Amino acid sequence: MRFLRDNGLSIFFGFILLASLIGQAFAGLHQFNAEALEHHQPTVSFWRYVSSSEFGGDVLENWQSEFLQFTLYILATVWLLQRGSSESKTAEDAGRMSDESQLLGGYARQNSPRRAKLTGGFRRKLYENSLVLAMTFCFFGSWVGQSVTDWRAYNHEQLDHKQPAISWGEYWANSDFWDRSLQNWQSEFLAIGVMATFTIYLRQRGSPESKPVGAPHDATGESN
Amino acid sequence: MRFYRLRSVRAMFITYWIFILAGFVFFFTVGILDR
Repeated sequence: MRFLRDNGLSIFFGFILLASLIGQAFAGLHQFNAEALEHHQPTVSFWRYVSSSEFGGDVLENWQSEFLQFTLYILATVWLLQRGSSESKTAEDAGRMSDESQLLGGYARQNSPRRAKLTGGFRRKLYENSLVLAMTFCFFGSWVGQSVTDWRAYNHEQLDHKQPAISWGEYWANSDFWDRSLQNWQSEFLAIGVMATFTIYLRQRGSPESKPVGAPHDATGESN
Repeated sequence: MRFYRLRSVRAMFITYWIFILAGFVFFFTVGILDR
């Protein structure tokens, strides 16, 4: 019980992630087989569809855009401000902030992470930026993965239409790849902009993503 | 007790990492093999 209470947020999202992924696999399979029948081609099994480039591309192109969103969000909010937003820092905190406020080196607490206690050097630098580095790694991992799976799927379509297949390198310059990437990016960037501006005037009682209900509209960086 | 609770949150952190990395390995393999 304590495990569930301590980890409710990550368990809840992990659960709906798996449920959505399974739902996507069944819906995608249905769609894939309907098209196969239209083209007088053989249908595929569930497992064959799950291990297809078509399914992989659909999954990874959404993953990459989420990781890109977080990478840019984490980085941009270091320097850029939105007055009144719960998602922004105040003007005096703009930038990487002092060692004192970041509890680094001599300012670290007894229970601070080991690498935060270091007085400088590469390993501390790495830890100072570990969140954005991890997100960047996940972004490029899924984006390159998308390029491989969507490239295969694109070539399957080309062959179906008796058109020549293209190389992986050529696919990076193909409008299909950029259409799939940008259609996901735009929605993520809209979501961030909306979050930054909506939280100036709107509230959700009890949520750490919101200012307290009674916080004034010009209060910046306050959250529950 | 404190140690147990730290272990449980670390388990969630590691679970998410494993899920992402397994996803990368699986779909890269799919992409490379699915000619």
